[in-house]
Amino acid sequence: MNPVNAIFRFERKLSGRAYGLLTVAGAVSMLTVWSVASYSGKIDSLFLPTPAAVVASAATLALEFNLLGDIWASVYRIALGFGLSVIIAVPLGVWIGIHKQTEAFLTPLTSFFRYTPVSAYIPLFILWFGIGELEKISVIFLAIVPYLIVLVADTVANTKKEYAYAALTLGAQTKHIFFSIVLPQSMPGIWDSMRITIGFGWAFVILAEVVAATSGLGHLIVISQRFLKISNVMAAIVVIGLLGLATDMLFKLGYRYFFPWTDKSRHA
Amino acid sequence: MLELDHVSKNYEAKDKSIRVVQNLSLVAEDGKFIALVGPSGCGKTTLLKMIAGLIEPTSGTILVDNKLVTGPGSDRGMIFQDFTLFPWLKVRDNIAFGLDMKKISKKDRKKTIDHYLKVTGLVDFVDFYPKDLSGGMQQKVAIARTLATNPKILLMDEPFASLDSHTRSKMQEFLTDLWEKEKKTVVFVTHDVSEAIFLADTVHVLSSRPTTIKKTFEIPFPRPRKHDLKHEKEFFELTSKIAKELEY
Repeated sequence: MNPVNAIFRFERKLSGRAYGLLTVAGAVSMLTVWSVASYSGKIDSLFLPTPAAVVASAATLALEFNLLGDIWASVYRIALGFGLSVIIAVPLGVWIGIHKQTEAFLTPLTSFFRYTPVSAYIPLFILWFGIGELEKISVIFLAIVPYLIVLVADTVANTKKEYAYAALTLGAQTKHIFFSIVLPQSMPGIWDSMRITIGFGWAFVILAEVVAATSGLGHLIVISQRFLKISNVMAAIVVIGLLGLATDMLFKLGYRYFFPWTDKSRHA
Repeated sequence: MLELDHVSKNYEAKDKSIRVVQNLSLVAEDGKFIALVGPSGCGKTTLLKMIAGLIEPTSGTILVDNKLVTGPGSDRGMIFQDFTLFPWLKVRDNIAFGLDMKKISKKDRKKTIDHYLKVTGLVDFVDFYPKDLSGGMQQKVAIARTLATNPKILLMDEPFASLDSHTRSKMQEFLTDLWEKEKKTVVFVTHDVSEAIFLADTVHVLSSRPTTIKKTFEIPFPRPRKHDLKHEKEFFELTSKIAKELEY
């Protein structure tokens, strides 16, 4: 088979071993490019430190400075901001997805906030909430909620009508349809929407911390930049990336655990 | 008894109205197996959905035991062409879906599930999710799921159309067997003439859109019917006679 066909034949099956190998290969190739660029000396180490230097910086930050405290500060803000977002956005999204009037009423709000950049609100939030936790959590909340609402609403609105028909001919009442058909069918999509939007949490907590904070990974980045400690900046970025990977992995494992009935669950 | 009296159905598109079913009248006695054959797109599914109460006729009446059909209910179970097992429920809970809607005792629930697992030969698959079943097995579960609610009438909308021909004839035999035991009223829609003859007591030939009954054939073959019937001369002759009717 020629390689173009091999890629586009829409084959979703892959052994766990092959999947793992490809994952490792992907990570290694990224590291290789970085290593070649930094160890060859073609790029000044001031601009691009070597992987070893970054690991060493991370170790120093963890042992002699407060890296773990900064990680905790950022994780805590995301957890709170994301948790609040889920509590507000998932029910609203579900409601929009099943109820046209609610959709009409809320669409201007969700669209408006989706298209206005969150960073533009930071000065307002600092004015209103100060530079404490509330300001950071508000930034994350505003970044996630409008998107999560729309993603959830789409998932719910796209539930297959045929299942509802089948349920009705099996004696279900209209009032049963929501809990026994619409919701169970939407759950994997809602879960995936959460997985996508928690990534915004990482992006925007750093932004909020870069602007004004006394702790967190974003704060660490700003301080390091001030002292031209580029390997510290990169160490912070690597830590953020790894934590993001871990978050994603947790969501994928959760998907497999909660939704064993989906096609995707096999090699999620 | 199921009675359709001068039933018509129009679909309203933007600025025009499309008539799909035209003045169709039909009577199905209790325990009879009725097949409706018609060209694809003629409005067969619309007809079944009206009987199921999922859509309303534009004019005319549909009566079940002299009661007007006003909405869906478990007295009229429907098997769809597309597989509509609930993918998030295991085979067991799919079969029990209708029972769970009306809160019956755990003991009766289990008894009914076990009965239909046995009838459909799916005992070993009770803990499978639909995605792990073949198309034929999925339709067996769908039939079991519908029968478990004990409907008076079984509405089947080309249920075997997306199966391969071997599985298809197995399923036809399975269905006649089952019907000979359970004796429900069945309204079976198909575009496959030999399938209609093999299964039914009466075959109604439908015209193309707007559809109505063109001609009715009583099927003389004795029961129980086995697959070999399809190779007999009389079967073949009747098939070509009805197929001809369908073409004009």
